[in-house]
Amino acid sequence: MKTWVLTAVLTAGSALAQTPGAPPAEVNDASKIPDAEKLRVSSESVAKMRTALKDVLGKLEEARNTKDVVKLNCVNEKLTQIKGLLRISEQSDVALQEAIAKKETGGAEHEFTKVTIARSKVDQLRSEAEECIGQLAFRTDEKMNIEIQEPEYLPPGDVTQVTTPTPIDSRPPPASPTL
Amino acid sequence: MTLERGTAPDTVWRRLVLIAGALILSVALPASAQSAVPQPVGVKIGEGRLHPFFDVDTRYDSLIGFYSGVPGGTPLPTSDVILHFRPGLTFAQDTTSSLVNFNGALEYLYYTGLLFKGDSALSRFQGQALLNTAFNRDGAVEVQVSDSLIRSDRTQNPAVGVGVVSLYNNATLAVPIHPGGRALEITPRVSWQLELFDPLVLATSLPGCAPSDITCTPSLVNQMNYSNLTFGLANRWKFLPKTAIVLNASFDWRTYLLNQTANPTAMILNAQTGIVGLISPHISLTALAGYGGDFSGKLNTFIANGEMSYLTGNDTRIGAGYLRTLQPVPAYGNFIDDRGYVAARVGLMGGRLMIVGSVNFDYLSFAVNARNDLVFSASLAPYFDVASWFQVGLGYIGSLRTSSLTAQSINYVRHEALLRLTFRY
Repeated sequence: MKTWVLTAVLTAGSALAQTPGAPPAEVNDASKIPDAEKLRVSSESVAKMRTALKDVLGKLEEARNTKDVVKLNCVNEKLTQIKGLLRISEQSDVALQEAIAKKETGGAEHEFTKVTIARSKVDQLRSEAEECIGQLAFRTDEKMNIEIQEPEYLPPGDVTQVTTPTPIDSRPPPASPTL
Repeated sequence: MTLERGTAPDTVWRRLVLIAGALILSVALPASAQSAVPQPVGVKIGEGRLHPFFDVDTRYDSLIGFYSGVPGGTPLPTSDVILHFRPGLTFAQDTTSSLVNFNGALEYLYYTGLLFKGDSALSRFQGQALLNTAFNRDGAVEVQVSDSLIRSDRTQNPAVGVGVVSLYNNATLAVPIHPGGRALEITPRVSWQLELFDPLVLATSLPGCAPSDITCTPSLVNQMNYSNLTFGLANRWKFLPKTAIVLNASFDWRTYLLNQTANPTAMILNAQTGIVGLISPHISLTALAGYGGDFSGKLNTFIANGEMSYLTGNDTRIGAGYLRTLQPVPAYGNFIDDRGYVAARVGLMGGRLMIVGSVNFDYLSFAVNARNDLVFSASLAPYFDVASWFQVGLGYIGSLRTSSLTAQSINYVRHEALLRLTFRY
């Protein structure tokens, strides 16, 4: 589990730690955002990630109730990654506030970018957690095409049709003294 | 040349046996090797194919009727050999979006007089035209239209106690609604049946039959002509690919065309629910139970259908079951049929050799024991696809019927054996 947290953090970190020589698009965008807006977006993102954490905790409970180990492990994996990203985001949010207070523009942009990337990743993980439970199977629209695969060993044809009972073979013979 | 066994001509017998064996092998071996049912070519019309065919039956019937041969004499059971000539056409078009199936045939029954002289008056024409269509099959709302027109001595009316020729038509409109993945299907249906009767042999009175009894007096059988309107609603939910919960209901409104006093009108509601389909890869179960009631005759009863079948491959199904139905009937208003049955269909040699058999035991209770009939029937019919254009079939049908109605023609034992040759293109 720790490995997953570490991987997630490193993945996010590697994205954030790119050199100014090849700045990611988010950094460029962050440079255009006013500091006040950075603070608002950052705190809002952290709040959203906390909400996502609560949702996924609910999913974990749901998976536990189904007693399905595969579902439980799947949700747990997403939850662990979200926890790690939330921790990083909370630290970055504090660091962002400090950097803005100290007028450190570069640092502020760096922390802001970390928060926005983490939020994006958390949203994705929340969707994946829902898929673990199977909720998406019930989300249908007019474009959805359901393909039912029947095991090959089953007999062919539709055996669920109620057949109309055949009438009695009623064919009494004629009778007459003469023909 | 005279052939005698045990001497030199024995070699001739051996040769005949060898030739017969070679002929059988020449037919059977390719069949088992190919393991496929040869299909007739037909004439391509649009996306379907039209197949002309011609059947010839040679049928021994142990009971073509009860006759005395002399005016005023006591009718006795008589038998004869009957030839059936049946030219016809079938058309089949089966695509993902539409289905059109037609089967039409004209039949002439020729009473040969080999066993009973002078029965040529029974020779007659019969026929049938069956049409089944379905449109927008791959859509959410499907439309099915079908019609069956049959002229035959087989009738849908189990109260008939003497030989008749029935002209029967059944027109049906159904609209299956199956949204999404077709797990749920709701099918409203309306159908109209009309059946008209003519006597096979005109007679005014028969032993054991009251002269005013419309069920067994040949000159009065047309008094049972009826019209039947049926409204149905079938609901099916497949909770597994081959297993479903069903809830079916139908309402029959039966009226009579010529005699409303001798035929009580029937308004019958049948509703039943249960499970239908596979309970294991090879075992199919039908377990339905419900209510049947005649609002005209104030009859309430239960109806049911329980069947267990063994299925394997494309062609084999062996099943046994019990069926209880409530249906409208002329002269009595309604009747309850309690049926025990065994039915088997076995395909061998890749489906080229089919063996179809059944045993049915029906106990009919007309208008709550006003009359009771017991009908037992057994049939066995193997048929073999020799080539894509030729099929050979054998058949045996045995039937026994006894009734609280004392008419001679409703208390009988009958044996029929037939050889059928079918030529098709």
